Amino acid sequence: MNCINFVVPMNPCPCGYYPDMERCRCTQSAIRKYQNRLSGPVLDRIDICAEVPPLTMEELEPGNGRKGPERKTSAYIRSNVLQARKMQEERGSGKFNAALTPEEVGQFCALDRQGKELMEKAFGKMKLSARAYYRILKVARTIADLDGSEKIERRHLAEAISCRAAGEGYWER
Amino acid sequence: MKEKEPGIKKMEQGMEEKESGIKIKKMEQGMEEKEPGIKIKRMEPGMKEKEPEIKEKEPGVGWAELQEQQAYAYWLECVRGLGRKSRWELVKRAGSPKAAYGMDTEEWRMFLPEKKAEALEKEREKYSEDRLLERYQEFQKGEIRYVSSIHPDYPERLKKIPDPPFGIFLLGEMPRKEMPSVAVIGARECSEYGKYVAERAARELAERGISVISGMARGIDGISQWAAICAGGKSYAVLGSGVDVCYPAENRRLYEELKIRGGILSEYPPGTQPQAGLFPQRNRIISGLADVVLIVEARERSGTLITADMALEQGKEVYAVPGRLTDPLSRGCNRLVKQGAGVMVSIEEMMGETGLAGRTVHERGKEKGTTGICKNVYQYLDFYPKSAEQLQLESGMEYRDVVCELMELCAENQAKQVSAGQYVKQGELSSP
Repeated sequence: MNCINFVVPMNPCPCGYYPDMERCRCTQSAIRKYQNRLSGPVLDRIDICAEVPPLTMEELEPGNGRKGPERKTSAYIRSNVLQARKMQEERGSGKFNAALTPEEVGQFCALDRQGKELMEKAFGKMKLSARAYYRILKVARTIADLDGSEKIERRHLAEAISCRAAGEGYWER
Repeated sequence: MKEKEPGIKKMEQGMEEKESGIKIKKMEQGMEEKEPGIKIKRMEPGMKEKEPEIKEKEPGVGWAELQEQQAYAYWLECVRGLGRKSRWELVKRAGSPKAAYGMDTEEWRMFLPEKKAEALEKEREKYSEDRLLERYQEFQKGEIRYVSSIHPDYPERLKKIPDPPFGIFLLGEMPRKEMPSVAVIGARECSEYGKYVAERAARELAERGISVISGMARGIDGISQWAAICAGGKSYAVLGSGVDVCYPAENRRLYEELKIRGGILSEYPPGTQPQAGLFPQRNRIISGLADVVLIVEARERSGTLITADMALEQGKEVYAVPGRLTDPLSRGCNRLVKQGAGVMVSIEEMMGETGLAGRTVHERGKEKGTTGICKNVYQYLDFYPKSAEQLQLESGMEYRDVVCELMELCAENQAKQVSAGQYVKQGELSSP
């Protein structure tokens, strides 16, 4: 099966400063127009969205990292990822989560009652597509793998949902 | 505002740069009449204009005569190249719209510039008296009403402002005289904090029987009006375009609701397209219709501050929502506070201080608090975006548990993910 990793950076607005209202003077329509250049169908195929805030100089200085209780080194992340990949390969089908078929998703990505509840809410609220539904489950499976967990817990699922392209219009009423 | 024309955007931005102390006179130039592209809409049953009760203080004006004068006033509204000032001048000199129509061209020339007299002459040739009355009757069959300044439905509040509109085009109903009203206005590009305050203030006003006046603009205006309507209150929009032009287009739903649960007003003839020059003008009507003007968020040198100045000129009470010093969207409000505007700490207090409290009809019970779930993260959320990481730091919880609670809160409408990984608080606060 052919797989590609699609990774794409994007600015939040034409000037690049939004949501820093101190510097951004783009109108809401300009921002929306800019963000709309990434169409809904494309967005629906992106599983993980993350905002990268600007770093302070302090954080950039050698020896300092991004502030936070969990400062993970690249080496640690690498070993974590390798371990997760191993888990996936050993699961039986010999492939990574991204390539799971819907049947396999049903088999390997089962949710418990709490997870189902949350999924139900999110599905209705975010008006998820079938594609998004399966993709969230696969990402949740991967997050559980990174945690070394056999079961997808509710918090794994929640994180997968939170990674879904957020922004306006998703949780919006 | 997706549908905004690039040209308009530019002009509007330019407008914001204008001095806030702008004089009404200066803006008069933009006031030249726009093409009155009148749309005749088919009348629906029950849409018929109700006959207004004629007040005693206008003894000579009977229903039929009023209709006739209205027709002439409408004719004046539709003369291209004639501004509001000229219309008032005409009626003042002649005594009534009909008399203004009947004046000699020479008389017009005595106090109007040549061009305007010519425009009038041309329109008079085009519309004989019969034709003119016919056209007004035809117009009346549509959904839109015209209320000239001599009409008993013309708002008393507007008669008291400097530079009152000559007439009002109306969809829905006029703001009620006996109902206190507060204008809730602010920035189009507002923050989550502004959205929250606007929503809550408007809802509380509506619940206390106070109508909310605003400009149906994107941002604070539209949010507050929508909140007022959702709370079962009345809301009235004053547009800088014709009342049949829904601008911005994204507020279509609000526009439709306002027709039923309040009114949409404009001093420009139907069909008038939104133009940057018209917006500061309509702001004076917004503040004119209100007893108190509440400013939620405003940048320095913004259109909102122009409205605040106009409100002060009209002798209205101006209240500002305080904000953080570092927030550019609060700078206008903080500036107003420094200049002596009231500080909106709670609607209750504002109403007490301005005397609105004594005039309200009913009050409703306390708002509901949070439902109890997921309070751990909720207490760290705020009305400006915080990242999940930040919340993790503040709450000391594990990252995944933070995200898990956030997702629950999002599903329950108590939080919102405004962009990837950034969250704001939504909904109610337990009352202080």
